[in-house]
Formats: sequence, structure tokens, C-alpha cells
Amino acid sequence: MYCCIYASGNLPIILHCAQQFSPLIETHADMVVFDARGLEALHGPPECLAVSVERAVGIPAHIAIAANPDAAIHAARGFQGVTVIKAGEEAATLASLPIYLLGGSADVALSLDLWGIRTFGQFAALPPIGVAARLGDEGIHLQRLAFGAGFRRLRMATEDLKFDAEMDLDTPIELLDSLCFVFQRLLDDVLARLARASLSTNEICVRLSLVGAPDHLTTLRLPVPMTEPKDLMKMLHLELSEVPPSNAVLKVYIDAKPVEPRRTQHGLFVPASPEPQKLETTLARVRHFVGKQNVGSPYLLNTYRPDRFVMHAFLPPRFAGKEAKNRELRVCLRRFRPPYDARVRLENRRPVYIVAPGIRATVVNSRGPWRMSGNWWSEDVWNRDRWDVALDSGVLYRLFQQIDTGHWFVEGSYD
Amino acid sequence: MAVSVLSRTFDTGECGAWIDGNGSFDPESASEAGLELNRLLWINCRGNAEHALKATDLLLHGGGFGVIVFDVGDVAENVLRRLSMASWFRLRLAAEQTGTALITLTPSPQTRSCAAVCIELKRTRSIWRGRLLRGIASLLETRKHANRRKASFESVL
Repeated sequence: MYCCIYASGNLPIILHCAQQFSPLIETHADMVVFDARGLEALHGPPECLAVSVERAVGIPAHIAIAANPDAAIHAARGFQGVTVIKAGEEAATLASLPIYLLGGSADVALSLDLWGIRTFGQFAALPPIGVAARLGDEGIHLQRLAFGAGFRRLRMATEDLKFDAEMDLDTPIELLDSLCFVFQRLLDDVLARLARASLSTNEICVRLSLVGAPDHLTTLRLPVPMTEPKDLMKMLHLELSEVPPSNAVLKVYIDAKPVEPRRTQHGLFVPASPEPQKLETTLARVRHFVGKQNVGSPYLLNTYRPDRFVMHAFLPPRFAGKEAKNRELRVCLRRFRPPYDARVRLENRRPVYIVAPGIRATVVNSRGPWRMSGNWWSEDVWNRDRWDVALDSGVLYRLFQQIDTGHWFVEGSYD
Repeated sequence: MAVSVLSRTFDTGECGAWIDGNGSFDPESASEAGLELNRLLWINCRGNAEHALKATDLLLHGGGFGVIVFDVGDVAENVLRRLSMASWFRLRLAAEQTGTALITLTPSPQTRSCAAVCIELKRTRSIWRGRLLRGIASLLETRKHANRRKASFESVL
């Protein structure tokens, strides 16, 4: 079932109306057609749906509901007011419509005019074989349309979908908490539109026009698509409180990037893991006080450089199921960041005494040196000798000496 | 040992978090110890124990993690003593409610009655073979219960 709304010169209004009913919308110059299948549960039979659409449009418009998009379009263009065509009655209903509504090429239109065909009904009554012989494929297609038959998918212009909202404020707002009420309203509107289009967002751009200062831009990027207004509002608030606008705000503009929503299949035997949306809100709070660069999942870089990692967003992969391994206990390094400056006394070119912040002890055992170097072809070169040492206190440390400067450092302790 | 517990947890498909009080977690050696880093959330609090406590509290209340390691092992004891007993009780309650195991690494016993198990680890000797440091021998002792248990083990480098 498809519904067509035709209102000459009022496309934005009828498009907005159609978006309230369905995300599947085909747009023409003065009309829109939307997929009304499944709306019976909400609006009742087609007659009731037509009344709902008429009420939602709010301006004089011609509305038609039919089993296929083309029949709905022709009825909306040809009949005044509301028209509901029941399935199987398309030919009879459309029979009286003038033939020019069918469109088609100028040659076909001229031929039909010469034959004296003036209405859909007259064209539909012609023998199909004769039409095919004289007018070709186009003739067959147009005759099918005149008959109200045939089915096609809607040609949707999804690239035009934009999910933004803005508000001009009567008086400038200085406090962020007060501004949040404005954000809440705009976000609710944008997210509701996203939900109607069966979409989600993973990026929200906020532009604030300030009094006597350049615009303040903030972008909230999310690792997973979200549509929960409460969570997004909290994250936006945290983001803006980190870098607040420098002046009072006069205008607020929000733009949400539409993406496909996250779809996951839960299983009875899948281990529990943090719910992504809830986790993201929690991590936004944590980032607020420890800093963005200090929260995430470490990813080791493909290099031999010590302390080689970057932080990625924490997105645990789905568990594929695997056997538990019998692992032996391994020694890990407790790394000092940055490494402690150390003074080391050598005997026979081996460290025997160390002085560093919180460390002043004799070396009782040591192994090394292990030469490590890399990136000699660039400015980002490292070149060091590494030692493992045991102190008389029983603690094990990893030391290194910069080759080019001769300085000693304590890299960490073995734990 | 905490890395080993996390590795076992990850084998069952759960996720874990390492709240790093002093920023001393080393992903390289943890990965060599068998830890799947992509299942680990690492929060580096850069020496701020208050922030570490707050982050642990938020994650525990959020739920969904199998194990959370609260590592303040190299934070000064006088700083740790400033953490109130109420904070430890709050963490314990959150851990009980969400079913998350909370491992706290401290230089001395801090959690007192809030911990279900208190384990003391002592390094007994280092193991050297040839020109290499091969591992550390340690002594493990449960401290909280009346029937104290001891065990010794070796961890390899």
C-alpha cells in the first residue's frame, strides 16, 4: 500500500508530513509517495490512514492511497481531495483520468492523440498485442500504468536526508547547564527523526554562535552508533564542559551524522560484556577527569621500540569461543613513565651500585648489556644498552644506558 | 599474577579493566604473558589515586566486566591511607551487586574487612640461567583467614 500526497508548490511541507509516517519516501516536483505498508496497526484501514495524513499535512492537498506507487500518483494528480483505491479496483477508478497524466514520450502522446484516445480507460481497453506492435515497450508499460497494474520499488533520495536542528535564542545564554535544556530539545528532535528513518548516529557536530566571538565548534564522536537521548546528552555535556564556549551563546546548531544502527544477536551462552552504549557514557565520565588519551585499549605497534603502543577505543570483539589454555605465570614489567634518571657506578663495565629516585642499593646480580637500536635512518632514532639487575633489597630492575649520551635510566621493575 | 587472572578471564570471553593508579602497566609484557589486549580497558590515572578510585567505582557500577584490577601498587602508602574505609565498602558492595571480581593491588593491606581474600606476595629469589634472567620465585600467603595457607611458585620472564 502506497500513499501519495500532491500539493503544488508545497514540497517541503508534504515531505515533512510524509516523514512522520514512513522513512521510505519517493520525492517528485510537487508530490511525495511513501510506503504505507504496515501502518494499519497504527492508523487502521486505508480510509483512516488517509484522514490521518490529511490532518498531518495541514494544507489543501490531494491524497491518494493505492496498492502500487504509480496508481497512487495518478490518482493524486487526477482526483481532488482524498482517494482510496482498493486492491483490484485500480483500472475502474483510474479509467476516467485524462491520458496526459500518463506522461511518456512525445511520439507516443501524438499517436494516442491521433487515435482519439483521451482517457486511461480508453487506452487500457486497447488490445495489448496491437499496442506492442505499434508503440513498442513504452506503449506496453504505459498501458499497464493506465490499467493501474504493475509494481515497482520506490526511488528514494536517501542522500538528501539531513538530520540537523537549530535554535535562535532570544537572550544570550552563558551557563552551560542552562544551555543543556536547549540541547535536550534539539537532540530529542534530531534523534526522533533518526529513529523514524531507522537510523542511528555516531557523530554529532555542535556549532554555537557566540556574542562577539567566532563560532564555537564541538564534535562528539562515538565508537558505536547510538540513539539514546539521555546518554548522548550526558556525553555532550561532558564534552562541552571540557572545552566550554568562550562567550555567551546566541544560536545553537546540531547536526547528527546518520549511520546504520548497531545490530547484535545475543546468545544464551555468550558471556556478559559491558553494554556499549552504557559503557560509552561511563567512559565519557572517566575521560572527563583522567583525559581522553589515557582511556582505551592498548594496541602494540609493529616495532622493537620500547613502550610501543597506541590507545584505541575500547570495543571488545565478539567472543568466538576457544579452549582455555594452561599458561605458566609470567613476569611482567612495571614500567616507570618517564624512566627514572639514575646514577650508576660501574666495575669491570658492569653496574654495581645504583642511585635513582626511591632507589639506593648495591647490585648483587646483573645480566647484559643487550644492545637495542632502531630508526637510524630518521631523527626518531633510539640506541641503548639494556641491563637486568637484582639489588640487595631483592627487587629486580631493568636499566638502560643511552649510547649517544651515556645517561643511565631505570626503565621499570619486574613484578 | 593479576595479568594471569585477566588472561584466564578473557579465555572465557569476558572483558576486563586495568585501572592503573600510577601509569605503570606495560602492554608489551602483558601481551607476552598471553593477555588479549583488545579485551582490556586500560585507564591510566597518572599517579592520581583519587581518580583511580573514582574510575573503578564508575566501571564497577556500570557492570559487564569479568574482572577489574585496581592497581595502586606503586602509589605512596600515605596517599592510600587517605582513601576512606567507606570507599572500600562502596567498591565491595558494587562488586557484589554486579558480579564483577575486583582485584586490588596495594603495597600493604588497605582493604581490611572489605576484601573477601587478602593475599600477600613476597619475592623470595630471582632465577638466573646462563646470561639471562629467567624468572622470579615468589611466596604466596593468605592473610585474612584463620587457617593461613602458603604456596610458593615461579613466574618466568
